[in-house]
This record gives sequence, structure tokens and C-alpha cells, in this order.
Amino acid sequence: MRSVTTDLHRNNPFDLTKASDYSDEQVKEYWVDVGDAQKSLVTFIKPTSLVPMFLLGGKGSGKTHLMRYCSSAVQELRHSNLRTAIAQEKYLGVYSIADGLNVHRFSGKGQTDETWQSIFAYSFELWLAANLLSSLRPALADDELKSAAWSEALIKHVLQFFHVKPETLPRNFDELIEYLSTLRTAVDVAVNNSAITRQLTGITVLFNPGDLVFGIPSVLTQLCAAFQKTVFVYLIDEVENFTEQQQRFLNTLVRYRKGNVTLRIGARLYGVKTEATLGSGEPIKRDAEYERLVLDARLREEASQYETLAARLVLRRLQAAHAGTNISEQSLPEAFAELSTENFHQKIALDIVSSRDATGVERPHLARFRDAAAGLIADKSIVEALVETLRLPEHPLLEKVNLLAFYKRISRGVDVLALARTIEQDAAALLKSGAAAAPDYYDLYSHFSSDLLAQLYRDYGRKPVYAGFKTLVRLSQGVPRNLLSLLKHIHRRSSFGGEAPFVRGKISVEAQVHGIYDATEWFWEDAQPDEHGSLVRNAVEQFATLARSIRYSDSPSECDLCCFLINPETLENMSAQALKMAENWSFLLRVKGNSGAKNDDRVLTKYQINPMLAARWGISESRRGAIELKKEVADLLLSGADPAGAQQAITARTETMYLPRLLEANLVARTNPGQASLFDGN
Amino acid sequence: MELWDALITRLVTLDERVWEGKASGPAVSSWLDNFSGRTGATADLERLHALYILSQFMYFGSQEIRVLLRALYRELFLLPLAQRVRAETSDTAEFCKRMEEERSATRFLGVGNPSESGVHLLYYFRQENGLSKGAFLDSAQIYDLTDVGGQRKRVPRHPQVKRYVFLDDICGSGETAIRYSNNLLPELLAEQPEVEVWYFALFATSDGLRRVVNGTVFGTCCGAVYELDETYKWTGLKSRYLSALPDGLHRSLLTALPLTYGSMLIPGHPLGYQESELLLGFSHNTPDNTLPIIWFEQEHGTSTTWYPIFKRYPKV
Amino acid sequence: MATDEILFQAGPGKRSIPDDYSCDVFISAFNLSERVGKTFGKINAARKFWLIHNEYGFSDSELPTNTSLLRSTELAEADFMIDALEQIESDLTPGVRLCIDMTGFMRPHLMFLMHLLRTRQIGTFDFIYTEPSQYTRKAETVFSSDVVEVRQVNGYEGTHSVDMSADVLVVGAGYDHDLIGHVIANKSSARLLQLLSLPSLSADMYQESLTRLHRVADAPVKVPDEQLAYASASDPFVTYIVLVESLQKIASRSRQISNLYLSPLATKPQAVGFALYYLKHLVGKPASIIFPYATRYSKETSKGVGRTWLYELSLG
Repeated sequence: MRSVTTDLHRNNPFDLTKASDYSDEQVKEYWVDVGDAQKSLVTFIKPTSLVPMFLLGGKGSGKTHLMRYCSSAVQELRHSNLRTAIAQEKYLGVYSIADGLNVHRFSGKGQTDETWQSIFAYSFELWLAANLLSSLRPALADDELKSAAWSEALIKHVLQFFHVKPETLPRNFDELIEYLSTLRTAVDVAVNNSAITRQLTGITVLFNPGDLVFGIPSVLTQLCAAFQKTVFVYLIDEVENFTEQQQRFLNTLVRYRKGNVTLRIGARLYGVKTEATLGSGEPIKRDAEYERLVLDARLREEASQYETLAARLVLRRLQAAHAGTNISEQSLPEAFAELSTENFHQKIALDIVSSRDATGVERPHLARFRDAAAGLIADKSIVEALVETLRLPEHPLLEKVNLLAFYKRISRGVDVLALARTIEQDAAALLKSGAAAAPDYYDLYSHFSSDLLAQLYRDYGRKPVYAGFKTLVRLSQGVPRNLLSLLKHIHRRSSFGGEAPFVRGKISVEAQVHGIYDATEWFWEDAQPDEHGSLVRNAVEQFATLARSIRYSDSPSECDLCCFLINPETLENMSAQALKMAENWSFLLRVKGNSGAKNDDRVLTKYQINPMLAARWGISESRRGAIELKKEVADLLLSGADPAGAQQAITARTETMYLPRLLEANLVARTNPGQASLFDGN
Repeated sequence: MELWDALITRLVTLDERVWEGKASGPAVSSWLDNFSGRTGATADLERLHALYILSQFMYFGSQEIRVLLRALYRELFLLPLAQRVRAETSDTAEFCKRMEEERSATRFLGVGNPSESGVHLLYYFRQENGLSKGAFLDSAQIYDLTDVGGQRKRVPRHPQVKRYVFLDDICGSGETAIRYSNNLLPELLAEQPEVEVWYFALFATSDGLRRVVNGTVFGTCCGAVYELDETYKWTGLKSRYLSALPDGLHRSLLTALPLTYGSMLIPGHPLGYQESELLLGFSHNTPDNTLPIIWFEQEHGTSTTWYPIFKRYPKV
Repeated sequence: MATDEILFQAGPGKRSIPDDYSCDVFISAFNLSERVGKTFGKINAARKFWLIHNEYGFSDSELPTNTSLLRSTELAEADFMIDALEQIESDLTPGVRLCIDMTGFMRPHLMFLMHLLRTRQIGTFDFIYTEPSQYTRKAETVFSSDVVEVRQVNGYEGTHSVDMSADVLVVGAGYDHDLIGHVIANKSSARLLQLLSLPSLSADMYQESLTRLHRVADAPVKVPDEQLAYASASDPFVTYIVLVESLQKIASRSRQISNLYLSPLATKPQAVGFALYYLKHLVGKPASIIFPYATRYSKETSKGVGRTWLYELSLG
């Protein structure tokens, strides 16, 4: 039998990327926290606070994992039993996934919205109540469950909420759960059959909305001293599938929250469709009636916290897969090879250019410059001299900086040769004595080095490089699932390449680059929960095209561009919709802190193209430069209504950044005849 | 560059999901190094085309082969049988009884020498389908030698068997089926004309199956889980591989490549045996109907050095 | 359930459509592909009807003129089918010899129709399905649909349990990885059972479908073997059998399934297989068939006319 590569690579420690696949044991095992109790992620969700909270986050932000971590099943695993857990943690987490209710069926089938509203609410409350009782059951002591007196008291109090009592009374806790289940099944059967029968007979709403959800915990507290101080937390996940009407019911529960009960409602960023409530429809008020936490945004803000979390996440996975056992939080970054930035990226830059240099072909950026200059400057010897002066064969990247400096400083009336010589001297000074010797030149270098390097890669037919653990952390932007996905793909590529990731040697830059590109594709194609697919992808594609056009131009106006400043209020409906949906999908990230525009007092909002997508267009993943987009341009790019117009807008914005227009715009003198001899008036 | 990257990306996925790790990066690199510009194109261009050829390779791993063996039994044999029996009765108990009877009267046999792949698959066939050992026969066990009027004669050893089902992994030209039909089965059918004989393969070319239907005692009692028509011939006019090519690939080079190098490896059969020109491999072996550039290795007889990507274990 | 019983339950099985086939009422869903049009012409039926799906977006001028058209402006599949079939209510009575060409049907409507017929006491009817003659290599279109929502199919909504700790989602994986991704994302807390199409309709399709499945973020590569199943996608009866076996295996290896969700995303015959399984085993249980609904579909899919299969269903 032919020998196959060892099984090591067959097992990718990062294969499973979503928390919902985990068992409760795995939720606990894979839980990774930062710091101590004060800084724990659990404090984000504040389970013992009675104030309801909407916990929002993109896919894979850790929202589900956090909510499940607070669920009774996992609480139980943290202690010897649930009763102890409740006593120590002072809450009971009743976790449920809203989608289990399959809410889409509460519509159509020949019935009015009104009818569906009350049936949905009824069914939902029965569901929550049954969940509550099942979650609590492991915490009840034998002498409560088996005691006839206790059971009778329980049943009596709970049935008080019912308008009509059942013929056969439930006799104990389990039968009570059974009873609620029977009621809900009856609703389900009637609802399901109505597709054909067109009727919804046989459903009577037996209690007032809210009575079970808030009433049952109250009853339990009365009957059991053990639960006197317990907060009952309904952790309801994934409510984005609820219709607006259905969410109103949820909001009403938030408003009328009472007793020792509270709610933690999980949804996608724009999954909450309304703040209105039923009846009068007065919306619930943020901070007064509920809190709002956007998990990934919060993690992005606490950057160092996220970094620690990221490292621990990786290590936990490696441990679980019995791989990389001799790696620590501190040594983890060393498992990843990185590009050497020493001496102004000399080694990498030479690497890129050397093979073509050997054939004697002029470097593309120089050739382009030469061509453009020749078109504008009649005297060939001047062109030659310019090229010669700006050339810097031993430092290709600085060579490009030279050109960039030239492009940025050139203007009408300037002596081009003198300019070139100054730049040459700056470069030399920098090389000899460091940044202080040529501060402006160095500034230019440090701002644009990553863009120029990307350009160099492109010119030589290669993909721009993203590598290193810190880069991975940055790319994932506070979303654990993204980080895991990056690692999964990097691991695959590394294994395919014959490496032994995390076991032996470093993961090559090549494997990282390929893996990151794979992960980018994955992120771009990842199924999103609504029908705005083309709108969102088109909008983001346009932004990215603009960013890319700027990055790869001969003289970019901004460095590391991936952010845009827009005033969302001024946008047309379609564009505003696209922007919002793109944010909902986390394709665009809103960057906190409104930024004043450069020239006046308008308040603009800053959006970044999610770094997870950066590789797709070869744009930067670091947030540095930003450009403002006025309404007309923003509308064109976002709405997708006029693709040709959008294209034009991009060209118009960027054409003076490219040769030859770049030089034409700056070199061609219109009025000074003294310079005329230098130009042939093209 | 982009096409190269895209092809490698495809290989990474295939290697992980289907190819059981047999074609990882270093192996692929070594295989590509085989191509050195013999066709006249540059080595780089040849390698790009070779990479494309590899990306089209169809490999069925051990798990897949097991699934196909189950499908062979279920869809080619069991379900049609059930259909016939069900037409006779609408009672569950009766149905089950008749099915059991029919199965008891059926024997499965492998074709070829016991050490050949057709026969070894029988083991998995038995496992996957939960059949007993008694359901299988060796060709030698079909007959008994008796004396009839002083003459040695072959007579059916198990007259109660109503159905003999022959199983093969790949039917390229139909040769094997023809051989069995001519050499093994005539006496059986002469003695017991009502006995059914069937021939099934996991893979069969259309040509091969046609010859089985027209030129053997199996007739229409044959079939394959996968029938590979002329579009599966690499250089065929209707080749499915050569239509809708991505930019950067040349049809002429794609046909020249396996031919040129194949001629170097197996002069008489540069594109594989039986003119099949397939791109097919299994976990247990690569058939010789597949392009030799895929499987040829030095041990096969010549002194040419060649690094195979999906090795073949020879039928010596 | 023992194998033979399952076999019996599955039904009469698939066969080639006989030349002398005839029926009383024939219904086909109109689209522009040759295989739908040709079959409509050839079939021998007393009364023939075209069903017009709104999702295809036909303008009136594109519709056939000299045949009865069944139409409706209703949206959901139940409302649509009930309304559209109202015209021929008198034809759809118990005992009618009914034949439906599923080739152009939308899958949810197809499944709902089976449920509807059963409630109208028409438990026996025929389906036919025509394969294309060749599956052309699909270009890498990334998004074939704009999925609006994932929800239960009318008529296949179960009475679900509050306990979601052992939920299972069975996805019949086809080419469209975007659809698969949506369904998996929708039931993200359920354990996934991937039902792959093997044997595929054509030998190279299996690998192809895996390279696409690989792009689905949340379909893990390494899964315990009870989370993978295989069935050929052109046979509802095989699909049925495999569902029975796979779900039995899961139940025996781990806990009782709390809620079961099925989603047939490959071919129409596969969808019929899923519906058959549901109607025979899952009615009244915490089980549903779910589907990713899009607003628009392409009017014409693959090319040519391949084999036509006849499936005699008995929903007994």
C-alpha cells in the first residue's frame, strides 16, 4: 500500500466553526474567556440584571456561544448540579432558539394577520413556558417533585392563569409539562392542517399574554425558598426570523417584564425589525426599558481583549485536537512565518523583482514612468536623466517611493530634474542615517509602504501578501468564527503543501496567503438570511473597486484605503437600504465615532470594508485612510441602478491618480512660454 | 497565474474530500516535473495543461467504491427483482417470502483471477450488502465433473441455482465478459436453459457494454452502475473535457500532451489499453484504461523514469 | 425495519416508460426545456394540462396556446396548487389514472401536490421524469438564486418539540451550494446528515458536487459516518430506502431525535423520495420538510432529452 501522509493533516483542528454544532459539553469545553470575573465575557450579558437586553451580532460573533454558555444545561456542567449552580450564579438560563417555533407557518392559508398574531403569541408563550419548566426540572429536589402537596400547590397556582381548566388535571410537574405540550400540539395540528382545510377551528387562547412567561417563575419562587433570589432569564436566540408583527409581541414582553424575570434576546445586527409594541404601538425605549449590546463591535473596541481571546481560542482548539501541545499564548505567533520588513522591505522587494530583472527587462513602474514622461517631455535626455536619478535598484520599494514622491511633489513650474535629485538625496539620507535624516520622505514611505508593496506584487503577477498571526486577528475583526475559518483554510493549505502546521516548523507565507484567499471566498459566498444578495454584493463590489483603483494607482490619494465617509441621511432609498443590509451582513463595518469631514462641520459616518473581504480585491486590511463620498457618488455606487454611471464615477475620481494623466495634469503648462521648450504641447 | 491558482485550489479540495490525500502538493509537484517540454511547448505551459488534466481526474475512494457496490446490488439486482416479485403479490409476508426464495437461488461470482481486483471487490460487496458466504461461488464451483457414458462431462453442480451474477469492476472492451461467455457458460446453459446469467460492472464503456449485449450469452442481462460513453474519451471528438475550456488552455496541447508522453511510456498504448482513454482511478488501483501519464511507473517494464500521480499495481 | 419490508413499503419502483403507456389525466409544469415539451407531445392521455408556475416569470406570449392552462396568482404552494387545480376538480377523483410529469415542477409544489392528492383519496398515481441528455459543465455561477426565506413546505409541517438538543437536519445535497448554505444556516443548531448523490447521473458529477459542497461554510469535512449517506438522485424509491436506513442508524447510535428537518435540494425525483418518506413515516411527528424559497427561477435548465423514467407511486 502506498504510504499516505500521516493522519495529522487529515484532522483539521478548525474544521467545525459554529457553536450550534457543539454539544453542551463542547460549549463548556470550548469556552474561552478573557481575564478574571470582572472582565469576563459573561459580564457583557449581565445575567443577573433584570433589565432586558438585545444581544446583537453578526454570524459567528460568539453571540450564540455566549448565550448557550449561560443556559441551564451548561450552568449545570459548571457545578455539581443545577441547584448548586443556580444558588451560586443566582440565575437560571432558559435557552431557546426562536427558529424552533418555525414561525413562517403563522401566515397566509386564508387567515387574517390578526388571527395569526394571537395564535403565534399563544403558541410562543406555551413554548417558552414548556422550555422554562424543562430547564428547571433538574434543579428540583426529589421531595419537591414527589411531594403530592407540593405538586398540588404548583398545579393550582399555575392553572389560575387559565380561563378554562382541563378536564383531567395534571397531577405533578411532569404532567404539567405534558399538558402544556398537548396544548401546543393541538395548535400545531390545527395550523398545519389549515393549509388544506382553510380553517383554524379548535384553538382557544386559554390565558392572557405574559401570564405564563412571568407568572410561572413567580409561582416557583413562592413554592421554593431556593429560588427566592434567582433571576429567571429567558435567553431567546435568533429572533431575526420573526416578522415585524411577531417581534412586536416580543417587545411587549420586554415592556411588561415583571418580577424576577428578564429577557436576553439574540439577533443579527438588523434582525430587530421594530421597536414598536402591540396595542398602542409605543416603541420600547433604549436604555430606559432595555439595553442593547452589539457583541462583535464591542469586541472590536476592546482590541487587546480580543487579541487575548483569539490566541486562547486557537490554543483551545489545538489542545482539543491534541496538536501543537508545546505552544503557548506567547509563542503562538511564531508558528506563522512572516515577511521580513527589515531595511525597508528590501529582501521581499528584491525577491519579487529579481527573476525579471535578470532578463534585463525594465521594472514595470519605471517603464510606465518613462513612457508617460516621454509623452510629455520632448527632450529624451531629460527623461533618461529623470529615470536614472529616481532608480534605486537595490531597494525596489524605495524606488517606488521615489516615484511616488515625484508624482506628489510635481507641479507646474517645478524644475523636474532638481526635484528628482532632491528625492534621490532623501532616499540616500534615509538609508544612511534613518528616519530623522529625511522625515518627510520617511513619512511618505511609512504611509504608503503597504500599498506600494501590494502594487509591486501585482505588477509581477503575484497576489499581495497577508501573513502573520496579528494580521489574522485583524482580519477577523472581533468575530471568532472568522478567525477559525481563516485558520481552517490556512491549515488545509499548509497540510496540502506537505507542511506540519503547529507541529513542526512554521506555517509558510504561501500557505497563509492561499488560506486567507480561500477564507475570503468563503466569507463572500457565505449564505446570508435574506434576499438582498445581489444588492449587497454589488454595493460592496463597487466600494471595493474604488478602493482598489486608488490603491493600485500610480499616486494614491489615500494610503491603506478601505474606509469611506458617508452621510447616510442623504441617500436615496435603495442606496440606504443597500448600506444597511451590507452592514447587517457585516460586509461593511461601521466604525465607531462620527468623523467630521475634512473641510466643514458636517457629521459623517465611517464604514470599513470588512477586512475578511480585503483579499478579494487586494485592498488593505488596516484602517488608515478614508475618503468622503458625496451623495451622488455614494448613490451610484450603492444602488446598483446605473452600473455605467458607477463605473464612470470611479474613473472620474481616480483618473488623475494614474499615468499619464497624473503627469499631464501637473506638468503641462498652459500659460508659461518660458517652459515651452520642454514640452511639445501634447 | 489565475488559472493555475484556480486549478490548485480545486486540487486542494479534491485531495481533502475525495482523493484520500494521495495527491497532495509535493506529489503533484513531482508529477508535474515529468513534463519538460517534449511537445514543443514550454515546460511551464505543459505543466499548466497537465494540471488541468489532473483536475479532471475522477477518483473513487474506498468509501465511494463501497457505496457503488451497494448501489450495484440494490439498483441493478435487488430493485428490479423486487419489482417483478411485487407484481406477483400484494401481501407483505408473501413478498418477503418470495424475495428470500429468489435470493437463495442466486449466486454471485467475481470475474478474473482471485488476486485481481474484480474478485477482491466481492469481499466488500458481501460486507456492504449483508450477504452470507453461501451466496458466493467461485467459477470453478459452477460445475462438477462426472462420467457420462465414459466421457468426462461438466454438469451444473448446483441445479437449484436459478441465477448466476458475475461482477466486475470495470468493463473496458467487454473482453472479460466475452471470455466467460465463450469458455465458461455454454455447458451450463445447455443443461439448464432457463437459468439466468447476468454480468454487472461498476464502470463500463458504452462500447464494452454494447459488445456484451451483442456478443455474449448475457445479452441484455448486463449493466453498469456508471456507463462511460464516448464523451469520456480524453481525445475523442465529443470529449467532455475539451469543450468549454477556460482561457489559457489549448485544445491541441491537451491532446498532444498525453499522447507524446504516453508514447514514451507505453509505445503501443500511449493513451491506455483498449483505446478507452479514461481518466479514472479507484482506491484499490488505477485501471490500465486510464491515460498512462497518470499511472505509469518504472517497474512496469521499461527503463523510463516517470513519477506517477495515481499509481497502478500491475496485473502481471 | 427489515430490508424486504422496506422494499415492499417503498413501492413498485422505477422503470422505463413503456411504449404503450396511457393515462386519463396528464399534468406537466411548463418551461422552455426540450425534454418537457417533447414529453408533453408524446404522452398518450385523454386530457392534458399545462401548469404555469409564476416563478418562471413567463409573459403571456411565451405560453402555449392550444392547451388548457392551470394558473393562479396565489403565492404559497398550497394556495397556488389548490387554486390552480380547481378548474379540473371533477377530473381528480379517486380511481382516476393520473400521470404527472415532474420535470418542470417547482419542488415545494410537487411535494405539496402529493399531500393534496392523498387527502383527496388519490393514493395511486404515476410520476414521470426526463433526464437531460447531457449535463453540460455548469459554469461557476456563484449565486443562482436570491433566497428569500427558508421555511416549512405546506403540508409537511410537523408538531415540533421544545427540546431542541438532538435536532437533526437531512440535506439532499445537489449542485447548488448556495441553497445548501441557506438551509444549514437556518437550522444551525441541528446536527447535519449530508445525503450525497452517488451514483450520480453522470460519472463526473459526484466529484463536481463535492467541490461545490466544500464551499458551504458549515458543512464539515470530517463527520462521523452516520452523518453521511448516499443515494442515486434519479430514483425516489432508493432515496426512500436510504432515508429509512440512515435515520434508523442515527437513532440507534445516538439519542432519540428531538426534531427532524428534511430538505431535498438535488433533483425532483429526490424530492419525491423525501416526500414519500415523510408521508409514510413522519406525519404527526416532530418532523418537517423545509426548503429555501427564491423568487425567480431560470426558464430553461439543461440541454437535450435523455431517458424518461416512470415512477408508480402508491401512498397507501
